[in-house]
Amino acid sequence: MTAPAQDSAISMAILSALINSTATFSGSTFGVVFDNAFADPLGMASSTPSCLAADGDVSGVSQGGSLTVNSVNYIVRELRPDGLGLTRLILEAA
Amino acid sequence: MADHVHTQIRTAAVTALTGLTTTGARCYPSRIYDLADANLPGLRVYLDEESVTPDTIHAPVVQARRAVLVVECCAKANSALDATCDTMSKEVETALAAGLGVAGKNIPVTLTASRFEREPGSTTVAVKRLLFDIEFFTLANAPDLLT
Repeated sequence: MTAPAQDSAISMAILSALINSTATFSGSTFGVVFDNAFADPLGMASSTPSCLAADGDVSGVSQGGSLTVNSVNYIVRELRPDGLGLTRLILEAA
Repeated sequence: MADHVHTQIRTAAVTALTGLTTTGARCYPSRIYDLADANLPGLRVYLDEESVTPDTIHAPVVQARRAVLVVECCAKANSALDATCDTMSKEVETALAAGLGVAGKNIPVTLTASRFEREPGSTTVAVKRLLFDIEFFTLANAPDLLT
């Protein structure tokens, strides 16, 4: 197994171990690691929803697209692929 | 003894800015804690830096004071956020245009700058920060009285 393939395999194993939510995009459902930590940008209470998913599961997702996580609708504001098979989606409440 | 003129000015500003169409009673002087959703859209009001210049030689010295009154128009929304902040700004500028009434005197209030900041999140937040120049005089031994 090549080094990149090993990295990707490790990423997938970690993702599988950490999946805590279900996302739905365009009718297909897949597991993600969802996070919605508290934040206080500019002195206002808020949160920063994002999720980590396998590249293959979100290949059709584009900036501005809709994604449902745990039955809550979000707009995808940014896609941040890590180059190792995982993509972090930065979300905004729809 | 009355409050320091800074307190009187800030209080007068809050009075002038409370009840505006967009922000209503959500006007907060010297707030240090986060604004929650129930506090928005809202205004944060505080006095920032001040320069003081002696205007006379003999004691008690007359102090020419120039301070910066800051009004932050705070809002949270995923659409029309800029326009909301602009509306708040319009209402604030209008409310302060005639100056502030403090202890029977009128203190002119002049808008000198504004700055807009926004940050992403579950819901985008933005602050339009308005800086107003205010000039007034006190005696060195009586910072609670306008001269």
